[in-house]
Amino acid sequence: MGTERKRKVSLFDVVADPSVSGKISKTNGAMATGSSNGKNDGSSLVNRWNGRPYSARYYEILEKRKSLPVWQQKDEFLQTLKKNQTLILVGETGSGKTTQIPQFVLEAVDMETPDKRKKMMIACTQPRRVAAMSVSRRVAEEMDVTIGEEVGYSIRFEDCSSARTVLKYLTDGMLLREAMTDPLLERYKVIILDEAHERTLATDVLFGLLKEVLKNRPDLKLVVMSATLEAEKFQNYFYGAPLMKVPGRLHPVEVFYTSEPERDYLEAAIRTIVQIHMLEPPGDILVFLTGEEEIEDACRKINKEIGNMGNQVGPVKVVPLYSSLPPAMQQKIFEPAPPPSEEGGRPGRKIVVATNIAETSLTIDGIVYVIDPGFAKQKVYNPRVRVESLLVSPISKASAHQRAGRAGRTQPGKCFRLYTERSFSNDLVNQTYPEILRSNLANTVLTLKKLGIDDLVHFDFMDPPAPETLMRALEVLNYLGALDDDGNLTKMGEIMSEFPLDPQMSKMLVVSPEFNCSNEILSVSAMLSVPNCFVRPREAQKAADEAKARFGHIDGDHLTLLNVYHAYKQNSEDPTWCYENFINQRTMKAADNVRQQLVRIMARYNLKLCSTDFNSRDYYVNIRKALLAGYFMQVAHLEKTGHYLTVKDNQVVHLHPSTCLDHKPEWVIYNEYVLTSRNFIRTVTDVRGEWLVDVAPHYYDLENFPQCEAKRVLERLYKKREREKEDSKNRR
Amino acid sequence: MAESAQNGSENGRGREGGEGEEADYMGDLSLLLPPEASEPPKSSARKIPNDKPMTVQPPKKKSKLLSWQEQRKLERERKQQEEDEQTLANIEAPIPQSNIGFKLLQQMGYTPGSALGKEGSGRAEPVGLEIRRSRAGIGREDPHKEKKKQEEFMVERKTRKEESLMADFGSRQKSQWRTRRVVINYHKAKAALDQLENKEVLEPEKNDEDQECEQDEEEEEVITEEDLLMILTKLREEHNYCLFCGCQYESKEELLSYCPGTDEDDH
Repeated sequence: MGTERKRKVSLFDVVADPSVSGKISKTNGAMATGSSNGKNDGSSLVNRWNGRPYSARYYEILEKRKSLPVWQQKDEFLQTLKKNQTLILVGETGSGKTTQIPQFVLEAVDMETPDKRKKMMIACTQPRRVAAMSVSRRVAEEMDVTIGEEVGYSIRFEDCSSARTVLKYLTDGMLLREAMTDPLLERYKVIILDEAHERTLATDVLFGLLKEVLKNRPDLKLVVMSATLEAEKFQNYFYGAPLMKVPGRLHPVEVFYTSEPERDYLEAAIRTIVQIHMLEPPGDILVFLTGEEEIEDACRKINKEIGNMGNQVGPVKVVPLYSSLPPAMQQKIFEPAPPPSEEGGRPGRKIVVATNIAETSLTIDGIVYVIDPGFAKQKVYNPRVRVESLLVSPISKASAHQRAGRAGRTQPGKCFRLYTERSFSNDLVNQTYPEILRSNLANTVLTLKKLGIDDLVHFDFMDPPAPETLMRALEVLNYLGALDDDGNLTKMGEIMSEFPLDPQMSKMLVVSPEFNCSNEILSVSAMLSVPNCFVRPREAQKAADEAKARFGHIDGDHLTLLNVYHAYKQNSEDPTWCYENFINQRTMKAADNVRQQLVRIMARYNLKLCSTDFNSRDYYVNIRKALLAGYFMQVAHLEKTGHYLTVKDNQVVHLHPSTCLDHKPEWVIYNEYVLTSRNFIRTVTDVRGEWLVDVAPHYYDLENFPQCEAKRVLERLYKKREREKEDSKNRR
Repeated sequence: MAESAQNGSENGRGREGGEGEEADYMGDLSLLLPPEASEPPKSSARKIPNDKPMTVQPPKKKSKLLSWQEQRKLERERKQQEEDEQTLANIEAPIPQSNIGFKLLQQMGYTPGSALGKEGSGRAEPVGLEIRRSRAGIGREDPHKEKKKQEEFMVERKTRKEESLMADFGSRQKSQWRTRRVVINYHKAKAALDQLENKEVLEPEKNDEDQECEQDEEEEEVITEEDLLMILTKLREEHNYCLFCGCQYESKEELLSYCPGTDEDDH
């Protein structure tokens, strides 16, 4: 137990020397109390947070904490913080800044408020949910308190904090949401923006926002923590705030380049792995690839290649690592390399094949060799064709540097870049574009509007987005009725902004009672907000496909998801049922949780929870109409030539092979438009042309429509509508 | 979000189980699609059909050797390349001023053509798209793009070669023609000189010329431009005669003022 916990923790840069952690897991408990530290301090000190005496474990961890590089600068940090309102702290991963800095602040800052029951708080933001959760757990352990009490976390759809909480780890998106109800963030005394170099959308918006808040709240302090070089940019942006550097614990890393560009980077990576395994001294290998499928593919190939070499080489343990991997599988990256297959044989090696989550957020000890093909899946958005997708793109020089650094965590290492030195200097950009330049900003604009920021043109973004990106966002919000024609937030927009969802989905939820199906739309929304619920193990693909087909709804994937949710509930959330039906139970639990949260928001705004009679023929029709009421801008039309064109943008798209539709409806709404192996629309449902005209006449306004087949069809529909009106008048 | 998870299942499909499914789907398409029908409606994409022959041909040539699955795969890749080109072409078109989003941003104080930010320091254009669908390493492009570039290069080189060949051919023709003219003119001049020197000699008949031409082959090497120049100068100096004017002038002065020059080209 103790061991496992420690390993989980070492995921997020709090790692101490592995040899030490090894010893401690062996000597856990009784032995530790016998140590001098335990005796001397343990009896005399009481935990100021919960009034209980410190446990032995507290002292154990304290010793380890004190060896972290950031402890060397504790006093310097606290003094600089005292003198300044804003402070920028640069430290490589492994310096301990994420776990230690907030604790330093806690020791130095008075958290009491006039109201005895309430305390001021320190916020520490994280770009990722997992990090917020695991770091807060670790820190709770270090402070010897219970998670959710003095130390808590808050992520979308899950709040694990209380009135006693003084230190809260939360995603940057959550802090932004809190600002919507507490514009001056008055419950916080210090705000720490961690991993600022990642430049997530929410962090960038927080930058601009906090600059304003700081002016109005002289008592508030801001610490910006970053791993890499852009620190000077931060410094300029925050009016020349002082900069502190914490040295990381890095050994030198030798970098190698190829002499020629590679024809196939995957092949090259495998070749390099084999060579390292044959020729280099012991040490684990970390390979960066782009996605789940590529990683699984690579793992099989590596096992095969090295298996073919037989006893010539030592044994290997090949471990995949990507974000959708179940946590138990992720833990495997911390297992040690295998021992030699026979006594005195060649040593074994661990090979971790990972996405760029191993670049900054995860630390794996024992890595000596890094292989960097130079690619990563990155989000791209283009407002002109309205496509938001993950695309494989070349990484930046900063990323390449970061990747190389992973080889020098425990001893001097080597990094093999699968490109030429010339490519490194000519083909790689210096810094990855911040997310704000690569994202659809519809939701962000709605949030900013809710925060009362009306002048988006002159808002102090660190990297202002392209005007067209904002135009698209404003257009979408206007069509959804969240902004009026003067750009003011409407009542509808106010309610929509309360949902932590895309504006299309929020709109769909808000109007679903009008279609008498809010219960069903809630379930569909919840299912769309979690990862894919269908499991498709390699060894049982056929069975999995058959199982999925049993949930299939003839009219489309949204309704299929609804079927899955209903079946899950009917079978009382039974894990066995999930297993037998190739449904991911974790995902279903998450969906259920999301649904509960959404129900609460619906209740807050008096939105009725209702359903059409299941036996009525309108049951599914109403649901499909409600879907359309939110997603009328994501419609594709089947052309006579047999392919789909997206409405208004006229992009050629194809139904994603995962769809349950066995025919091609004339009109479909889609949840996503992605560029994978082809231009796919994913999660698709059949809708009728007439509904477009009924539900969203302002969008399907022919005056504002490019000339195309879809327009001619709509013209006919409008004429038909006219005739019907005439007829009914005449009949009267 | 769900990207990687779903991706995986999609790809699992793409590889094996899904092959049939997707192939059927494409099969549908090819039944419905006359070859030119895939032409997108936008004018910006019109250049695609032009590119087609280039991209189509190589797979077609190979197709006899490939299984139908591979053919399908190639066909699908080719279609995707066309669609990608269209996507990239569509990305060139900015959002029009008539768009409501444009108007709303203008109401917030945006001046068309400027950038956003406190100091207007933002980027004016959205970040572009680069679509990579192969595993070509950094510093290399997708194979089809590289192939296309190479093809373009080859085509260019071919035309350049042809052009230079043509130019070469032209100049050779010209020089051949020139030497022939030299010979002809030489004979004409010789005849004229003979005529002028002993007035009795008759002008050579046209037939002679042809005959002479046929004899040229032997004489070609003998009669050079220099010989012609010498004889022409003699005619001018001694007889005030210009072969190209075809007449004898009264005086040297007249020759100089009326005759445009000593070369045939001057006339």
